[in-house]
Amino acid sequence: MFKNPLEALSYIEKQIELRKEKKNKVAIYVCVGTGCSAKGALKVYEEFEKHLSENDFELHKLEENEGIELKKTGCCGRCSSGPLVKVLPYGYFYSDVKPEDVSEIIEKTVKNGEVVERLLLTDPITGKKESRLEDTTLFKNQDFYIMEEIGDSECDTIEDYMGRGGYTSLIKVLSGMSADDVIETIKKSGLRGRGGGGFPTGLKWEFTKKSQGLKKFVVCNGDEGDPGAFMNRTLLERDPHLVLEGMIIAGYAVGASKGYAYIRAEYPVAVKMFKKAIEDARKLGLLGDNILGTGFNFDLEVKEGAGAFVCGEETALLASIEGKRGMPKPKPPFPAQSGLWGYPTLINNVETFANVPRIIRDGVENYRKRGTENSPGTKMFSVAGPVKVTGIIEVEFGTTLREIIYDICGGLVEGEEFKAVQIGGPSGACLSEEFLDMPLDYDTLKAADAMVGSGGIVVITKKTCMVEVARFFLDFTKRESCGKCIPCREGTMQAYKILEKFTNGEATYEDLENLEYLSKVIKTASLCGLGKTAPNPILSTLKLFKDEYIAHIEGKCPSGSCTAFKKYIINPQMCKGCGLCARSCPQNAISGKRGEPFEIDQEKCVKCGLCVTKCPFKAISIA
Amino acid sequence: MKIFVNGKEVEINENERNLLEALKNVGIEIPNLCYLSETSIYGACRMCLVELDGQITTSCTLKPYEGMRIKTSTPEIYEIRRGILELILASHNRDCTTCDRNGSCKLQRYAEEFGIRRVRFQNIEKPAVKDDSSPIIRDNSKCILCGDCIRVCEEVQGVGVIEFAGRGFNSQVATAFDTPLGKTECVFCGQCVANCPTGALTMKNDVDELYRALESEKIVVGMIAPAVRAAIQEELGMNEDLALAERLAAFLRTIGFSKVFDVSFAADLVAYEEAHEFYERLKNNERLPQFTSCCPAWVKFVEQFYPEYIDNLSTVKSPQQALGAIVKKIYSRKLGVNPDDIFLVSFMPCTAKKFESEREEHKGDVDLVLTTKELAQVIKSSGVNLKKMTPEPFDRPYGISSQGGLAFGKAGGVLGCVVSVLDEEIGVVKEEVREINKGVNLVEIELKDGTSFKALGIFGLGNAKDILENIDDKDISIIEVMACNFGCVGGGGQPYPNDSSVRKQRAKILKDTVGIKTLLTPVENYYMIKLYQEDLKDEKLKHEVLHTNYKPRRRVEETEFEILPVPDEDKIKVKVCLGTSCYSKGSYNILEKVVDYVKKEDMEGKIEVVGTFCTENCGASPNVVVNDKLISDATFEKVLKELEKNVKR
Repeated sequence: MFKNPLEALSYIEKQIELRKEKKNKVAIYVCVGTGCSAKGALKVYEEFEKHLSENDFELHKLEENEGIELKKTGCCGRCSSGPLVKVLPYGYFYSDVKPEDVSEIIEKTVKNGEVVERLLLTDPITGKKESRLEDTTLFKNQDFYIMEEIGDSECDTIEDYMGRGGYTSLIKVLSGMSADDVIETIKKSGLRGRGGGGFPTGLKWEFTKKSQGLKKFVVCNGDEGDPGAFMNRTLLERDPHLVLEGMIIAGYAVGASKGYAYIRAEYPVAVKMFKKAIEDARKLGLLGDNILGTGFNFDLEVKEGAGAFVCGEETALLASIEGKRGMPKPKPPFPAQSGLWGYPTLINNVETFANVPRIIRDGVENYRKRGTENSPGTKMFSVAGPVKVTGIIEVEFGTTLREIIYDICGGLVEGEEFKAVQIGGPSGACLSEEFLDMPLDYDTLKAADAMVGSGGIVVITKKTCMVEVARFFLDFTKRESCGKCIPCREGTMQAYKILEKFTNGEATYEDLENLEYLSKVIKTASLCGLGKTAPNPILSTLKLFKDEYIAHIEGKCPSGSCTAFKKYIINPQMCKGCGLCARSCPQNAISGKRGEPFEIDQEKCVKCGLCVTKCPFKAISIA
Repeated sequence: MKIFVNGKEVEINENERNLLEALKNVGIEIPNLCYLSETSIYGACRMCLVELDGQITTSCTLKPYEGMRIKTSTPEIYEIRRGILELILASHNRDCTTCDRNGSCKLQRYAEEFGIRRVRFQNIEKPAVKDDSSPIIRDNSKCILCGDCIRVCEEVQGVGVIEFAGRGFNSQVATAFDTPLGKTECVFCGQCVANCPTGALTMKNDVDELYRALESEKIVVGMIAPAVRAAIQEELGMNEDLALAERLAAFLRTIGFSKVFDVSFAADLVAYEEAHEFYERLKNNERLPQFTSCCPAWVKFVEQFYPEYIDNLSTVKSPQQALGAIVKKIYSRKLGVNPDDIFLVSFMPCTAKKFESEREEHKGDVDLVLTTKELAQVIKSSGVNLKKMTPEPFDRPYGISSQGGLAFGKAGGVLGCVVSVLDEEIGVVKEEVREINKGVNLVEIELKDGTSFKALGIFGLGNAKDILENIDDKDISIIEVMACNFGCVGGGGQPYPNDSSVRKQRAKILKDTVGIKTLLTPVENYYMIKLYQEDLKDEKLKHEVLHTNYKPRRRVEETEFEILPVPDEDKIKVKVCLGTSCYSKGSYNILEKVVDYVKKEDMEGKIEVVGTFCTENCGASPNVVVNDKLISDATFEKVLKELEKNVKR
């Protein structure tokens, strides 16, 4: 337990030295983020453990002379290629590692410093295998600032975090900065809320500080719920102390003595990591009463969310922490005025807090070197869809979509053609090709009727129907609506029903009119952010892809993906009359005489497509 | 404060809660479906939109400020409101003609006012619970999820028996585990009914039973509660008619009632009895503070949530049940008929009274309780114009009352009446009333004999709850509690609308009606005194007729699962609680061990083992009951010790 900031600082310096030394030694880092774990990373880790404990003479000799470290590292963002293993000091980065590969890695890399070619990551852009992650184009084209030292930072020890200079920002704050200094710094840094809205963080802190209250709270919003978004999970898993440090600094700045980290229960690894981080910090006196002997008290608790999307909305989240049903409340009052149990509460996103120690460490000027004037810093995005590389990326604000999709993610996979991106999750919007060169930041996106949201990017190709995209998101929001306000509860359901009519080929021009009207009602009249943004997938597709809606009314799905518009036909020239299709058809919709071309009864056909897969002569196709 | 509404300058009161109320008070009613002045601001219906600086926002959450410029009705706002109404209607059960709220439904009114003749959206039926297990009928197919009932139940009444369940479109108002309301801790005050804007919560309708009785050979006797006469006028297009009770008496006789009595007579009696009971307790300093027991919702509230205070309740029956017992036990003898030949109908402003008449202790005294709303239905369907009915007096001997008795219909009435009896009998030297909170009045009283004490008059069970949780003033010796805001005038059986402004108007009418009564206090009530002197001479009979008892109530109905059943009466019974809390703390392990023990020791047939749900002692789980002994924080060893003790015996 550190008695004063100096003690802590000398301890940190020692850790920095130790980490430097360690990086020159042989060390094996196994990524144990959720993605890698799901693909068996823990078995890989155990296999390494087994090998190291076995009676291997050479290994023991190596261990005695130089030491071998086996470490767990947090998510590296390349989840689709997991389990990932990095071996130091060489920096070799292996992907898709299986337990059976471990002995080869030990023999070749650990003992002899040789690379195992076949396990190397293929650079999606150059198509070449690269031995180090740092050498890949996708790495070079990113800016790992929040995710510094990706691949060899330990996620479960406070010492490693300190070895990377962690907690120096907190010490700096506690040993000389006033609360107002901190707020001023955050304000000047231009940091904006990473949860989606982009509200200036420093202002939020200032409001909370100025609010009168017997006590105050700091809350970390880790209820990441957008389908396909996992930036917050990654961050919490790979560097929980970074978020923790940001929260403590925030607590100091606004005058709070208690904090809650609201993390969804579906992120068990993140919950575990964060709880351990709290414990470790508490042991060293970085949390609790009289932190570092400065008289500042601040403690933290993890609250697990129960899986409601709406609890990402701040007032609903606070209700959930209070043990109530997670339903939003009208604002004002804002949480900064009246939050948890009526006390002033600062609530920020995971990534927002993670930026704070960096700003304090690097200073406003250096921090602002990244990003744009009005959106400084970097942003983590999760990229999904048919691009060569999917996963977590980190780029400066101002990077274009084209750079992300082609220079980082390697462009689209074979046979796919770009149509649009969906950005910002269910509250976000679709952007067409003409927006590819637009620099991404809060304001340009807003001007394009889109939003950064939490940072999910889904690439959509020509094979995808935009009406179906809207239907998909409305299906999500209608299920996740809390049911409180009428426009959202009833409106999203009705909008979904109308969209369903479109994809089922039953829509009329009146439906189109009603859909436009309904979207406006939901957007203007809903109570909370979830409702107000719920029609965005509709509005943006209506704006850029209205022709697709009209085509559906006219009896055609341009992308050919809506089942209702599909018509399976048998080409009589190619059909040999084997009858295999007829036998496999679950609806008995196919009939014919053996040896003669068969026919499909369109009335009976449910368009399952089974016949297409069964036909040995490729005689069945969609008309 | 000056603000500009639709370009016109409007003067509003300072310190209004929000723009919605401020405008309502100057005559501009912004449409809304979820706003209640008495509860927290919910902001869910999104109907009360106004335009402020080009932005559309809800007026219920908007604080007015000097010079504020707002528009209350723009084409955009109109379009959105229409859209919202259509959205609700699309999933609403629109069987308006057979709905209890036909004509008084707020949604129906808006649909009419906005000229909605067609719903543009798809009709989607919601899964809907229908619950008629209590005097309060729930029909979720008519629920618009405004949450008014939930907030009233929780915030105003402190009961909290209903909550939202489910998500999004499937949200529903539900009880815990969807238990029928009649089996929950609901106190049947009907404040949810009073505040429901639609027909999702209505009062049980028993009018048919009245007609069956009138058709039978029975002697049908009626009795009318004080608050009925102040409210029924609203349903009949009448206003401030001070002879309404007497017109009602005349009307009831025309449809076949043999006698019509006044519940205010019984109120005199109850106050008289309760004053004596209180004076005894005060002198002996026992079971204080005494709680009034006229309000059946309050009585159930105490039984349910504060069983430790049961002894504080006055044992005197409510006026309804006292008069019921008198009619059945004394009046029947006077008539020389069997009590069963009399069919006694009580007209009440209250839903809980229906429950009260069916309590075990009272069963058979009052045969039917009809609410003000139901009585209005009887009158309306008869085609009689009550205005033109010549008033007739109530029947003797239970037909006259003092001012005190009639004042029972509004908050503070019981307490005032009891004090007036004390004044007559002992003498009150000082009486000072002070409002300490909305719905809570403190009265400081000094008697001639030198004793002084404090009394509280409370309305709203939530207020009562706050007082019970923080009661520390030992001088508070008597507490009147009326479950409903403003007392019985605001009862759950009263006509719609049943909001604060209407209730205040009813209280005024009742006050005026009280004012023209000649008798001031029960002591002056000749018939009441005669009743004491002649019919209630026998102490035992008096006790049986005027007093009752109470019992603690479970909140969760107990269910037993047979595990090792024993048919014999003579057995040791082990009940292991398997409720969530006990289960998660290992009660199932205890159960297994007990079963093993019974089998191993060859005690099958002597020791019965059952699982139960639940012992309502979650704070000290796991819980096991051996015979009647509750073992909390149970371990198998503790249970074994108790078992062995019983085995030895």
